[in-house]
Amino acid sequence: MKVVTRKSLWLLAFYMFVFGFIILMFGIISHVAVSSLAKVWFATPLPPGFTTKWYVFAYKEFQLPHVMYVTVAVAAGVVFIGLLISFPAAYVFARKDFPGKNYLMILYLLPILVPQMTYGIPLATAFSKFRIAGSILGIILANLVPMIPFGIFILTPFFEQIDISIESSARILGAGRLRIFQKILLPLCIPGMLVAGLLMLIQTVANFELSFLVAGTESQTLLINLYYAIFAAGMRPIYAVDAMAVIYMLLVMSLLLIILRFVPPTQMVFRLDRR
Amino acid sequence: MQKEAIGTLDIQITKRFGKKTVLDNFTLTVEGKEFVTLLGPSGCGKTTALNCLAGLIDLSEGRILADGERLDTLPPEKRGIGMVFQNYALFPHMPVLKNISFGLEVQKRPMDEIKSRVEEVLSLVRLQGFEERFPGQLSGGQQQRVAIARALALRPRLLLLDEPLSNLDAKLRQDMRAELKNLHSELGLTLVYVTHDQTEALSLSDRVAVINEGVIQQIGTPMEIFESPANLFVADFMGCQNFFTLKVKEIESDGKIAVLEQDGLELRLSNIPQPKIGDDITLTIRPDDIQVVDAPSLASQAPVGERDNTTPGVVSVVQYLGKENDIDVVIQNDMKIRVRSPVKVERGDKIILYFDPERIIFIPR
Amino acid sequence: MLRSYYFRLGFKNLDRMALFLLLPSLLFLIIFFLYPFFYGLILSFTPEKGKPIYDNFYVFLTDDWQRSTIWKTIRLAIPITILAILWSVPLAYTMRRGIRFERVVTTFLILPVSLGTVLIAEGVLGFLGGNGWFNQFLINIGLIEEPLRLTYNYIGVVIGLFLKNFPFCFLMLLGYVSGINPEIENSARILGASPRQVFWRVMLPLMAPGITIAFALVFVLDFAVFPTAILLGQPADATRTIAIAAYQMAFEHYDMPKASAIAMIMAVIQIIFLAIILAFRKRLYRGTSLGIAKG
Repeated sequence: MKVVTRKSLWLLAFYMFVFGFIILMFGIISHVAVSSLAKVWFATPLPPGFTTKWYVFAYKEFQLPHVMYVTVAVAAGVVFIGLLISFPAAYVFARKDFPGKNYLMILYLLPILVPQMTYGIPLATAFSKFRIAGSILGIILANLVPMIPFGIFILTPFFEQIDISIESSARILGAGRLRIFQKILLPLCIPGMLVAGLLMLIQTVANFELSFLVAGTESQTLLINLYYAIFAAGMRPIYAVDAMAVIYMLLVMSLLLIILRFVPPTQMVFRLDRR
Repeated sequence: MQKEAIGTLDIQITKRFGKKTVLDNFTLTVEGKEFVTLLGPSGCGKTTALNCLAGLIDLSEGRILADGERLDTLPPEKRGIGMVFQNYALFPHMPVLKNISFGLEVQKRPMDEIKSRVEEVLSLVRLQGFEERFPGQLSGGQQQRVAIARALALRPRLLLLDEPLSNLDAKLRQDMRAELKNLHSELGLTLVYVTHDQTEALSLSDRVAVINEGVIQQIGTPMEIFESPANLFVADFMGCQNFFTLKVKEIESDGKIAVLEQDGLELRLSNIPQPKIGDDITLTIRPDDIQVVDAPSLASQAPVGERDNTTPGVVSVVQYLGKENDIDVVIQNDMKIRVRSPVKVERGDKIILYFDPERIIFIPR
Repeated sequence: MLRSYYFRLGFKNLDRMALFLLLPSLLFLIIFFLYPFFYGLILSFTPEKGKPIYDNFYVFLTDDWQRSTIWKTIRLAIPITILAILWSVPLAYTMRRGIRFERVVTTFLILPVSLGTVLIAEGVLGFLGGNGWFNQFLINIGLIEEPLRLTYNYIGVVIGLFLKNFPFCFLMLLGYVSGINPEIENSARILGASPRQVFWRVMLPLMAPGITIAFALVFVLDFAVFPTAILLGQPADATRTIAIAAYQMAFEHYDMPKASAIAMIMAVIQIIFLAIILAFRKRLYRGTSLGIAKG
C-alpha cells in the first residue's frame, strides 16, 4: 500500500509540472494573440475593446508582402536544393561502407550540433567578403549548411529500410542504374522525402541565428523582421508587433500540424541513439 | 526467508486490453516440479498469460493461487518467480557476475551466500571463467545461459521461460533443449514454458496446453495432444494435414463399426463414438500414416474397393526428402491428400492409398 | 599494386558512382562550413599592424568588460542545463511506456522547440511582464502586492531559454528511454528489485550515456544564447553573453578579426566542455551502449 501512495504522489507531481508547463505555453501564446486584437490593453484581464486594425497596420508598416516573399523564397530554395543534395548522399550513407565513413559522419554532424551562433559569425564574415551577404541567395546558402546534413540523417534510415535485394532483383531483371533510381528508389523514398522536406521547411522558417547574421535590410525573413520589431519595441505599437508574431505563429503552427501527421514529436529533435 | 518450491499453482485469468479479450477464462493447474508448456501461434495470448503470472501486467479478472495463497496481488519482485526472456534481457551495463548476483544483491543477502550461489549456478550452466565479460561480448547461446543462471540464482519457486530458444540457430537450439530438460529434472523445478514450436513442446514438457485466441483448446500430455487432438485447431497445429468430413452411411450390427462416405471415399471405422446415420464426421490422418499399397504398375489393375479403407489416386507432386518423399495425391472429386512414404513414385502415377483405421483421428466438434 | 591496396581498404565499395553522389554535399560543407571556419580562424590571428599575432585574443581576454561575458554566459548556461536535465530525466522516465494524453503533452512540448526563441521571448514579455496575466493573477489572489520582475533581467533569460531547451532535452531523452528494451526492466523487477531499485541500479545507468550527451548538447546550445539574452534580459549589462559580444564586434564595430577571435573563444570553450563530458562518459560507462535496443 505504501508503494502505491508514493507512486501516486509522484504521478501527481508529474502531472502538475506538465500541466504547469502547458499553462505557461498556453498563456504565452494566447497573450500574444489577445494583444494583437486589442485596441489598447493595460493591466486588465482582457482588453476593453477589440480590433483587427493592427493586422492592416502590420501589413503596411512591416512590408508584409515583401517579407512573406523572402520567407517563401528562402524556404522553397532550402527545401529544393537541400533535398537535391542530401538525397544522393543519404543513399551512399545507407548503402556503402568505406574507410573513414565515421569521420565523415562526424563532419556532417558538426553543423547540426555546433550552435549556429558559433559558426554563423565566421560564415557571415566570409559571405560579406564574397558579397553574397544580404541577398536571398546568401540566406538560402547559410540555411543549407545545417539543413543538408540534417536531410541526410533523416533520409538515411528510409534508404536502409528498402531491402537491397529489391535493387539487386531489378538489376538482374535488366534495369540500368537510372531506371532503378527512377522506378524503384524514387517512388519508395517519397515518404522520406516528404518528411525531410517538411522538417527542413519548418526549421528554415523558424531559423533565427543564420538568417539573422546573413540578412540585409531588403532580405529579412518573417522571423528576422519580427525580431527587429520586438527589438525596437518602442517605435511601433506593441499590438502591431504582436500581430506580426501571430502571423508567424500561425505559419509555424500550421506547418507543425501537417508534420505531426507524419512524424512523432520525439523524432523531430536530435536522435540520441543513432550514434 | 527462502520459500519452498510451489506445490500447486492454480491459475484462472481473464485479461482484456481495451475491448479486446486476450485471455478468456484461462484456467490451468500446474503441479509441483511439473514442466508445463503453453503452445500456440503468435498472438494467441500465451505470452500475456506468462506476463500475468510474473506480475508484469495486471489481471482483468481471476486469480493466481500458489498453494492456496494469492499471488496476483503481489508486485513482481515479491512473487519469488524466475523468468527467462526471449531476448534474454541481460543488463548490458553489468558483467556476467553482476548480472547473476543482481537479484541476490537487491535482496541484501550476505556476501558469502551471494558468492557461493553465483558459483553454483555458473557451474550449472558451465560458464565459469566468463564472470567479467559483458553481455555484448558473449554469443547468443552464452547469453542464454547467463539468463538462465540469473533466474536460477534466486532459487525461484517457479521458473517462467518465454520462447527462450527462438533466437538461437537450429543446432544450438537442439543442444539447449537437452540442457533445459536436464536442468528441470536435476533441480526439480516447477516450470512454465511458452513456445510456438510443437517439437519443443512435445519433447520438453510433462503437459502441454494448446492455446488459440486466448482460449485453451486442450491440456494433456504430449502423447495425448499428438495422438488425440481435441479439435480441428489442435490437430492442424500438431501437424495433421489431411482433413475430411464424411457422412455416416450405415452402422454395422454391433453398433460400433460405422461406414462413412463422401464423394466416393468410403471408410470403415470403429473409433467413432456413438455414430448416428446422417451425421457429418470430421477426421484427420497424418501424411506418414497413409500407406501406398500397390506399386504404380499394378495400380491400374487392382480391383477398387477390394480392401476396406483404400482409395485410388493420381500422383501430382513428389518432393524428395532423402529417406522419404512427400507425395501429393489427387483422389476422387479433386481432393488432395498429402502422403509421406519411402515408396518411389512419379508424377502421373496411379496408386492406391490405404488409410490405417487405427491411425485415423476422430475430431470432436 | 595500388589497386589491390585500395581493394584491401574496402575502397572497392566506394565506386565512382558513390563518390559522385556524395560529392555535392561534401563540396557544399567544405565551401560553406569548413572554409568559413578556417577563414575565421586565420582572420582571428590577423592583428592590426604592428601588434603580436595573438593580439585579437589578448585584447578580449584582458578587457574586464569583455572577459566578463564568459562568466555571464556560464552563469546562464550551467543552471539552465542542469534544470533542464533534472526535469527531463524523471519526466522522460515516467513517460517511457506512454501516459494518458501523451499526444497532447508532446505536442505542447514540441511547440516551443518549433516556434523558436524569438517568439517565446515576445510571449514571455507579455505573459510574465509587469502587466501580464501571471502578475495580475498573483496580485488578485493577494499573494503579492507589487508585480514580480520576471523580464528584462537574468530570470527572464533563464525562463525564456528553459522554455525552449527543456522540451528539446526532454524529447531527446524520451526517444532514448523508450528505446530501451522493456524486458530489461521487467527482468529486474522479477529478480526482486523494487521500482526504486530498478530506477537507480538498472535504468539510470542505462540512460546515463544518453543523459550525458543530452547534457552536453543542451549546454552548448545554452552557451550560444543570443536573441533570448537580448530580448528578455539586460543585453548591456547582466546578460551580455559572449555571443552578443561577438555580434557587436562584427556588426557594430565592423572589426571582423576581433569578432572572429571571440567566436573562436566561444567555440573553444564549447569544445573543452564537450571533451570533459565525453571523457567523463567514457570513464563511467564502458560497453554500455551495446544491446539495449529493442530486440
